[in-house]
Amino acid sequence: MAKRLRREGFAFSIPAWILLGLVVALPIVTAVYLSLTDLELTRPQSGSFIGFENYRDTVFTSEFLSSLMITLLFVVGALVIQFVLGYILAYALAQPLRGRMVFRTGILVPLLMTPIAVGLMWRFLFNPDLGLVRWILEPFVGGGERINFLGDVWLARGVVIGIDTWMNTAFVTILLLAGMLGINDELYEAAAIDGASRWQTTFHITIPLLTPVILVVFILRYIALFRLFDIVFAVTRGGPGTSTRNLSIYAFEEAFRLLNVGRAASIAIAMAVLSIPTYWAFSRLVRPDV
Amino acid sequence: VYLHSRRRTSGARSIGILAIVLVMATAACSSDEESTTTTAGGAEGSSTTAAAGTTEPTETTEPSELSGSINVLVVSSPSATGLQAVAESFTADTGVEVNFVEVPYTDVTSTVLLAARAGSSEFDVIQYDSGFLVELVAGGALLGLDELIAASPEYDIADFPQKVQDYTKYNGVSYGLNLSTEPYVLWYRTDLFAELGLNPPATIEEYISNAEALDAAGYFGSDSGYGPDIGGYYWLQHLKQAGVEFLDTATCEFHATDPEFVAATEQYLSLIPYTPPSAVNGGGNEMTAAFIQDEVGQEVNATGYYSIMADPEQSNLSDNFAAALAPGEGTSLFGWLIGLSADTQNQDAAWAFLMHALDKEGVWAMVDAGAPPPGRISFGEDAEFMASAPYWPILIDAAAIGEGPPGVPEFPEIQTIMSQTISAMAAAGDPDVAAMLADMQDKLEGALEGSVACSN
Repeated sequence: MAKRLRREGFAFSIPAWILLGLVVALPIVTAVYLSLTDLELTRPQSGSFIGFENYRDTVFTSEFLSSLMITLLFVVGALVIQFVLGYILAYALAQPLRGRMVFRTGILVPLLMTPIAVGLMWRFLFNPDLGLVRWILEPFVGGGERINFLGDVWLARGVVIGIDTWMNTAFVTILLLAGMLGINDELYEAAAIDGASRWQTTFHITIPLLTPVILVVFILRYIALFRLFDIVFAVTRGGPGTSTRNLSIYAFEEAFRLLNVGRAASIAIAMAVLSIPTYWAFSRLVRPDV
Repeated sequence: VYLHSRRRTSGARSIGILAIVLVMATAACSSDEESTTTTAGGAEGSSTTAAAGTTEPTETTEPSELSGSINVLVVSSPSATGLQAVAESFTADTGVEVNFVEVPYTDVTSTVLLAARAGSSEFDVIQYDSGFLVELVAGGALLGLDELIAASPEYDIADFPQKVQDYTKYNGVSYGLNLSTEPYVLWYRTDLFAELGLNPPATIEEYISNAEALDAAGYFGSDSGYGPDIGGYYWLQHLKQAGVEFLDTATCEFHATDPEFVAATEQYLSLIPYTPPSAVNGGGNEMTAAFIQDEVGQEVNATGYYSIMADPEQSNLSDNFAAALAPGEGTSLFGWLIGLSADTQNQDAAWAFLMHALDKEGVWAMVDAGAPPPGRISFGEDAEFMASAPYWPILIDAAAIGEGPPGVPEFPEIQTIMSQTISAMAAAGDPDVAAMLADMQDKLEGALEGSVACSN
């Protein structure tokens, strides 16, 4: 009986497996294959198998390492800020404040916007000659000096992290808020009776019970930040120089500017491989038996 | 625009192309481009063999014999607007339906080359920047036009200066018609120059001297793009003005570490304090935005921006500006080109459309629709046109001495490396120019390693 049920279950899942194979496995297999070829769109005769040459020429290079470091900077910088801000906001919104529904809705607005549009909007705001930021800062800067946020290496990196934070902190907030609201009030009441301070309540009740949510949010944001593209493309184009050129922009350059499909595929595959340990570690952490 | 696929590609090919598209999508999730007006003057690409299509000999086709439809790939620009404006009369004359497919500037090469690799007849006519010419030819995307041009006396190729004819060619074959001609020239503020007693500079030193005077008067004395995207074009322009060769196309040797190259680069960087910060981060669009905001005294930029500068709805300049030859020894020549796809299935109609839009008579309808004019010498004989385009004699003079990008398929990679280097130098404040140029030299040599074509 159980065997029959298993067979039937498998039969019913075949369409899903086929679909999964088409939309997930086929592109990945194709990308892996292309990464082993010399395919360039400007060379009609290209596309020959060249083994791991693309990885040697593109991935195991200082350029790739530099882009990886920038990628990790964006990941770590944005994750830390977004979690701190997201937790504070979620905590505030969990309190019985007047107008909290309006605020809960309001903070979602950046999240609903298209990233490329957000990037273009902020690029204009940070325009050192015409942008709003210049006019806001003018009284503080003085002397007619214009701060070139997008022309300075570290300011440009900060702008990228800031814009991603502006856009995605709401995502962290909403999920943490949902987690907080799911915690049984009786635990807080018991802690209050025992004389626990706010900090003790936070570190011994709220955060431990939020851990599964925190891990899920963390991994989702990690994935998004690791392959961050739209905002960087719209705001800095990887500049100044290559100071904000993360791995996605690096792959984009190879694919769309240099039209070197094989090398672009090798970067994409390397990005995926580099992410696997993190995904694996976090997926183990969120397992209920761990 | 709904595209009809008039030729079926084989299943295997389709899967191959789908795979390429998927990989490119994996590499980068989006390639949206700003919705700013685009002027020709940028480039992309790479690689080696020149697998050019050739024109099938055709006899002149009467309009009544044309049929079907054609698909025209255009890039948002006044030139594209002009093409769209004349399409209606073409359809009325011939019955041929004209479908326009608009793609972002940065997507032109990948879109066209993917179609070419698939053998797809998705596009019949292709608008492209002259900087894209070599890579599109190398990718087998364009049809050679010499026989068609020779069989079309109404086009009158001799009406173009020789340099303007030459930059439509690769290895001696024409692959495009001039849609616009946009050499780099000096734009300057006539009111400020008169007020400060300045003259249009003939040398770079005079340009710098003017920049200092304009700066002292509270204006930006220079305007150039140092951005990571296309800053390399403006750097190359300065090198041309300084008379510095950066690449010997005969030997494939770069000269980035030569003392002259280093000195010219330091001179170019010395102009940053006089330049609007937004232009330092960007390129032609940012430069033009600063210029029309009444903040800049002089700049060297493409003539394609004239229509924006002169448009009172967009520009604060009114008629307080004029053009002169770029100071120094040389200048860059860019412009929109338009050609036929190597896989077009309706070549007669596609060519008839080009002639309708661009032959010696038809081109006036384009110009009337606001398109920047191609560099026809005969425009100078039209008093009404000359009154509306006072910069025209300068354009023709600049086009006569202008040089396009080096005809190597790897030029887009070269341009990318140069743009990133100049952008890094501009951001560094006090860069070690010689060391950064030495590093760039290594990268450039790597880009040309194995190249089979260094000269056209």
